[in-house]
Amino acid sequence: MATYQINVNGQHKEVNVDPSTPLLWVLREELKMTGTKYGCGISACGACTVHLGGIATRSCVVPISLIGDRPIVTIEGIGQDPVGHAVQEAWIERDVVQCGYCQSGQIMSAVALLKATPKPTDTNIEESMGGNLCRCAIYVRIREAIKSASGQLK
Amino acid sequence: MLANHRLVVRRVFLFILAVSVSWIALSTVGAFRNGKASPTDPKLADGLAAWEQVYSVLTSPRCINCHTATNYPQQGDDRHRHFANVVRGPEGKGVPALNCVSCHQSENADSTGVPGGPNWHLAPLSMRWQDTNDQILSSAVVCGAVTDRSKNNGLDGPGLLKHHEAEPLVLWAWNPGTRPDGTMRALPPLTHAEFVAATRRWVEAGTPCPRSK
Amino acid sequence: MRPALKFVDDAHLTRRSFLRASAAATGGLLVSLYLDLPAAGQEGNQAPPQKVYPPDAFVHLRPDGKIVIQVNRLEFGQGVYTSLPMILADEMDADWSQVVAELAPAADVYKDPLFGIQMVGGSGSIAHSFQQYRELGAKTRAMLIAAAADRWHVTPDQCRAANSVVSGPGNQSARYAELANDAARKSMPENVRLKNPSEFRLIGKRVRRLDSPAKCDGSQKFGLDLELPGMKIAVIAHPPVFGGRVKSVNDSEARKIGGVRDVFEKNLLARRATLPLRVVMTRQWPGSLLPTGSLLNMSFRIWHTHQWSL
Repeated sequence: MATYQINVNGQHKEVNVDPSTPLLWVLREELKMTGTKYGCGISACGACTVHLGGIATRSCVVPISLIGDRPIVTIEGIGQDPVGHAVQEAWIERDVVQCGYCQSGQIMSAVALLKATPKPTDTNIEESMGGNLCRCAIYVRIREAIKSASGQLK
Repeated sequence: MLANHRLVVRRVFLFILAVSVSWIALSTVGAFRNGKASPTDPKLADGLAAWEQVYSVLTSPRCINCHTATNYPQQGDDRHRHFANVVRGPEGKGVPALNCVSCHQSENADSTGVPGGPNWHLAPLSMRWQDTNDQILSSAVVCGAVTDRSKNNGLDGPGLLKHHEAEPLVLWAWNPGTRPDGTMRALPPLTHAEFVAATRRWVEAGTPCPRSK
Repeated sequence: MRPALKFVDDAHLTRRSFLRASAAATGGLLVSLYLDLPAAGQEGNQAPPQKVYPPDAFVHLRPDGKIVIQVNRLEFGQGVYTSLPMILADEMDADWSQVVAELAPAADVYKDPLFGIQMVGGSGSIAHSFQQYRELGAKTRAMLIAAAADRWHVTPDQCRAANSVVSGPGNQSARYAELANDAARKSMPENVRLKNPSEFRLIGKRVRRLDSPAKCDGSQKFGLDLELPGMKIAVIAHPPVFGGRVKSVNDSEARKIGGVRDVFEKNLLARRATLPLRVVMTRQWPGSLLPTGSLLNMSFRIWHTHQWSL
């Protein structure tokens, strides 16, 4: 066990966990922040996506010991960001969610895409979002909502 | 007239001799550069043998999985396409939301089975060692690519040696971490020390390349 | 007459209760009506018992104007969290912007009207609850209008309702929230007029899903997010082939991991070939890795049975 100081959504947190514990479980079980989801545990589905040091990161495979002082942003905090807020609004406007389990990860990835590429093409969207799986298969609406958030659609 | 004729003949002979010697000399030098020399020269033969050792490491999975000619990296000892639809991206670092560093951190994460090293990314296409069907290129072709300074980031022989000795992502191949199931990833066929020694012998022989088949 | 329906957990209903206002704890209208059913619940009846659903188990009008509607199904993306409230709100002439949906707790009143168990599936949510929710909405509307008619000394058919407001013949007007307590004292009508489909304002129209916001900001809880005091978590290690049985297990490494409480073999069903291994832990990590076998050195032997050809 070791103590780690981390910055989550702008707030300082201290956790005492085994160094090998992935960030996902630190968020969910230590900090009780269950918005970030466990879908596969092997970085294959994207449901665990958070922003680490500004980069979309799969929290299920990153041990707390490798976080360092990089700030963490989760789905609970992304609404404070103007791009995050726009994405959430577009998601609601276009009724993107069905069961909703993948959507935390989808939104975090979409925000990362839009921050890097404000006007993404279909290819940009497919490449960047292609690692976020949705069993309800709502991919078409996700693409529409991303374009809507980017201002490309009315 | 006979004396002039002899003089002319001698001069022509000397000229031809000079040209021949020059041509042989230049060819030999050129052979060091582009592998067209005869392997009967013992130093050359040793250099070529050393290259084959280097080639065996470069084409082992721990190295070649990131030296692809395609839009994606490979993974595993069977070199299958990397999962999660990750792609190369414009700089070999993935694309937004799916960067290499979205999962691969600066060190191995053995508890979760994800390998890691500083600045994890794909080798550029100029350093591809496979074809677009994921088939490994021949020893001659890989050697040509590795020694082409317009493609290899400007590295000369000593530069290549240093790269093999000290580049962190190269060193990673001998500390590749454990898979998610807890087993260790397979190491390259030589130890790092053997790899560096082979590289040194190859560089000292003038980085010769085998003849293309 | 004896009431024929039994309610398991509903504290508001007693066996002999009639219309009752439950304004004390929560305020507003909680219509509690218990209708006697002829011959319902008796064994051996030829006709299936006619089910009546008390609106109070489904609709709660809060003093602040919010209308909380209980959804008798699980929402898993198919949209009933939005569509069933739409159906009720349409017949009720409620202001849709004030509608809040809740997933109903476990109780008999929320059973599927056709299948008789509380469930979701078989594409039955709208098919079996469409009429039910329409009637609930219409009955609640009727009671609100009856309350307004009383207040204004007019007849119900002189009143109209729209958007959570009842209007009287002489420009009188009252919001549903104001009428709720009085409406709670009215008797639930046995029969109500349902809308002609041409009168639908919500059914068949585009509305936004009610569950979107919570699913977009991480606040929606799913099964995995549940935490109860003293809760343990079990993960199961399955044989890699159908018909396999555990031959041996070396769990010493697994037991060393903090939080792992026990590792044991347990038959799921008698006489079945597959015998999964259970690992019980107090937290999810690293248990999610244990079934991969790395920390549980398991070997399986294949048991050929006559029932399966492998």
